Amino acid sequence: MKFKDAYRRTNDSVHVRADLLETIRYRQAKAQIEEAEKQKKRRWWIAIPTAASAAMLAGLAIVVGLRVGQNKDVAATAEQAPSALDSIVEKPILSNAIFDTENSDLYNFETVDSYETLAQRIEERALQSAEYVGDLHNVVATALNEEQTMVEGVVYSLDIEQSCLVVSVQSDEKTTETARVPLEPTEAGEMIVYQKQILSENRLFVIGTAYASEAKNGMHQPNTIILTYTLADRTEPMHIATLRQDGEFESARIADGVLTVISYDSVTVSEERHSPDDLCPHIAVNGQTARLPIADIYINPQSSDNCFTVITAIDAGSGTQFAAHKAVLGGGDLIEEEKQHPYLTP
Amino acid sequence: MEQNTQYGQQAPVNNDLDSLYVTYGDMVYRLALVRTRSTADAEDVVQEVFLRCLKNCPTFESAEHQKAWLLKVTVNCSKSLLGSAFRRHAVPEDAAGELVADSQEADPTVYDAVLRLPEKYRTAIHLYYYEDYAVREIAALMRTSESTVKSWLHRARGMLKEALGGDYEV
Repeated sequence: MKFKDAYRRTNDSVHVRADLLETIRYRQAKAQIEEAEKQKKRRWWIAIPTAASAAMLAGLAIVVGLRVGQNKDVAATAEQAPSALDSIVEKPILSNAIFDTENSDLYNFETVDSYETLAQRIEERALQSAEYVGDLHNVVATALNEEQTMVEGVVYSLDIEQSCLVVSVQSDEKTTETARVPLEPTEAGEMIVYQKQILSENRLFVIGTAYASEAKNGMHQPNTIILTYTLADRTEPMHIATLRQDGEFESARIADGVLTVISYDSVTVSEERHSPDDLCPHIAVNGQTARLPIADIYINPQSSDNCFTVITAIDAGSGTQFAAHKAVLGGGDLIEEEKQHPYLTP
Repeated sequence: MEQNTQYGQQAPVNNDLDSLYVTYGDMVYRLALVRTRSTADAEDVVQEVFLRCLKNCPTFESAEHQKAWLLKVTVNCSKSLLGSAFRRHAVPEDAAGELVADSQEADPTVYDAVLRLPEKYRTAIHLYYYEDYAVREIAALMRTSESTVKSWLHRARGMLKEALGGDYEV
């Protein structure tokens, strides 16, 4: 039997309740009444004497001016002074991603003592076939909608248009473009697919996957690219850092001032002898590549998948360095997320 | 609702709530149900989608445009719902059998296998196999790249094969 036919027939038997229409009508009427009330209040404000309005506007302008100045100061400080990287490592988002799962029923990650041991395990896996089926119902899947981002009470929307990132301010009535960020030119022979944009205070992160026909700068192909822009001046975003991590981009989000980026790094095993650089995931900051330390690499024995899940944390305040990084071999063909915890499932 | 939904390229652009609901209500509900795995949540999403449509009064070039807009808003609304603080802490999920119980045509095994997929995989599977959208169109709806959608579909098919065994040709 064809899956498509069975799935279509099943869906055809699913219908929405007709009486839901009444609820929608009720909610629409209620919204209209609330909107009318708001309009009344707006009209009352318009009736305030012009002089008083002018005085208020002048006061507001001073406050906004001070706030803009403050924002510029914050950005300048973040760029000059090293951020508190150590404190980020202590934050739960990365430590929980790995360590909370050690005592769970689903996962029990192993540490690795050397690159040689890791290479041996990878080659063993290449000879095995995956048998484990994860219990997906034990995992709560949530997605965080970051396409629209509220910063200082203003809703910004981000969009990619012809290699430019368009930053717009959204209101009920309209969307106003505030900035157009030209994305970093691609390296020769490298194609970058931008997949995610995140706005956080004075930083704008553009994340995607870079594909090339051959490895460049010691990184595997494909790898995830994270472009950091400063928004100290919201009308003129400025590129300040390019971070990369091995593997195809999978997921990114910000929580508690930490940008977490997750990628999948497939390991290609051939008959030739492999060096640690062939096998282990890398990170790079502005072109400077480093292999992940063995202490940051784990093995999930419940999966025979030869693929690293690479998880990095970046201080969203500066966005110029990796604060922490971990990789799990066989860590997950799937990633499910809550706000505080990414879950890896084989 | 006895009246089954009919929609497609021949359908005219509907602007009043009644005809909009009759035409697209089931479509929105089915996608919301696949994404939220809960009838209560799916009904919340349906309400929100039609309220947004009434509030924003978008101008549609065609029925296809209208359909794509509604599907996109459904994806966004269910995403917001799933991301809410309450939903993160309380996740009542209905069993597949309860969602499609009353019909002889329904195949809870197949539906259950789809519901067990991760959220974006099952959304892609639903849009591809039920709504007949191409990879390019799914990528646009879900704001991602075509290669990502292909990868989701590939992985989802593998998981479905594993879950359904040899009984179904995926």
